[in-house]
Amino acid sequence: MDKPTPGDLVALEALIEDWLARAQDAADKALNLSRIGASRAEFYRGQADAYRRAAAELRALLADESGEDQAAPVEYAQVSLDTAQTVLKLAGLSAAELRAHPDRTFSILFLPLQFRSVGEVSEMLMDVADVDILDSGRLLDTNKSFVDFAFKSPPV
Amino acid sequence: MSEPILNPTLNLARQLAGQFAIRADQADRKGELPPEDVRALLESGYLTLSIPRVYGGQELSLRECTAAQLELAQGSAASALVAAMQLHVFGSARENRPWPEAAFERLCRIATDGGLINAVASEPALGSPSRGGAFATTAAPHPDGWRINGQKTWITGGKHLTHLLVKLNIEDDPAAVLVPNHAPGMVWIETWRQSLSLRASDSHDVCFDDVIVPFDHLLERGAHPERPPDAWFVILVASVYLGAALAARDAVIAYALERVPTALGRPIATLPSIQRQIGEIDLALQNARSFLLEAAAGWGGDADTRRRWFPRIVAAKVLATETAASVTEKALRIAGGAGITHALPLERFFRDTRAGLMHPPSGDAALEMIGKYAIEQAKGDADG
Repeated sequence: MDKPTPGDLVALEALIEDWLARAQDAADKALNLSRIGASRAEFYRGQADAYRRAAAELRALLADESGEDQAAPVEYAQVSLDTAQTVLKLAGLSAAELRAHPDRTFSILFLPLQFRSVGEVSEMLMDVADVDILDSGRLLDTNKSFVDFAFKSPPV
Repeated sequence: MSEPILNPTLNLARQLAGQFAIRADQADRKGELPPEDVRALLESGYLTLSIPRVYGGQELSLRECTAAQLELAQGSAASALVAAMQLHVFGSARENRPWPEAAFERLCRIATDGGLINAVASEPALGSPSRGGAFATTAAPHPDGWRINGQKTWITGGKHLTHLLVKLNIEDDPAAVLVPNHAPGMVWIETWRQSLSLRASDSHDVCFDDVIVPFDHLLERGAHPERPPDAWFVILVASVYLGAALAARDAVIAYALERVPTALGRPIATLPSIQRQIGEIDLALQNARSFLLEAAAGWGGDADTRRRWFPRIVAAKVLATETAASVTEKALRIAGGAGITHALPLERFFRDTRAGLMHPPSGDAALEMIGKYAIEQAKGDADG
């Protein structure tokens, strides 16, 4: 993705403000119970949450772009890709792909045929190594399951 | 016309509906299911409503799920249809236990862990299997597992699904096989974007070209005529269309309160003719909603009891979908020219509810089932 221009940033900031205004409007409606009823209030609470969430996500994206609010990276153990592959084999997991990242974290993408939940996979991994599970879920483009992890200490 | 306000499931459904509503128009125009809606359904636990408690779900009854769906669909009928598919798969399986228990538990765990699952039956040549016929999609043994070939159609959820429960034939036996989405050999064909209804439900086609799944993914094989019909699918799908119609009622009332024609000088909601038309809409919706919830509440008991109740389920579905179709048309008439533009969501509600008329059981088949049961009852009364 191209870096946003100053004009883009102004437009995106305006969009955030618009969403926050809509969130406030929906929140105000939700408070007006006597007119809309309590069940309808939940609907407007949902709208307010969705606008706030969208605004927060866009703001975080813009902060990432400009390098703001970067927390100090956690130091994980340096482990080679080969060693990480061995750990996966020990765990009984066949990974379609293992990716190493510069911050010493790893991503595993699992074969679509693997009939296991992400929770099970995470447990199997933690059984054989001292790891932090950093994230898990599915990739939006392929729906493949992924688990991001890092070694808190080098595997024995 | 709403359920108790302190019900946490209904409140969740209402909040999700509020979230979906802000994205629904754009999703409809793009013809794409918003990933944010899928994420919200998964993260909120909504998709576990019908899963047994023992396997991590909430084990709500058909009536409770129906009430929730009526709220959810008021935000987006397309996204509510995606939810309806998962709720019906687990609600029906919970009742009938059609698969080995270990496989059912595993499937439940996949779902409670963030899976999105749909049963896949319809095919281009077959249409819906509700009117009979054999599947052209087949599974055959292969050294590495079952090899699947064929094409399925109207797969709500599309690429967002994590797993598909594919109904197919093994030799001459009907069977069901679990297929992880995006397995090698699966190709999605985007057939749905420009459909009349529910454009954002991603109900596309998929082709299976030598897709291999392990042998233990076979969930069932053989016909089971002893099983009672599935009320979960019928009722939950009907609730989607009726929910859209409830949203149309609210939207046209809001419009009637805001619209002040120059010549009139006050909102059109003050006109008795408009009040009468809105009264007709409200009356029809109250009737259909009450009947749908009553039919759902009566579902249960042994197989014979359920079989006897099923015509009532079908009647409730027919009333709900016909009502949804007629009241969304009335709402368009009330709004006039503005109603057929994107300025109001009424044209979307009108389009979305047309699909309810086609969802099985529909048309003559549904009416024959209702009529046959009524005749049998009358005969029983006369004989008794």
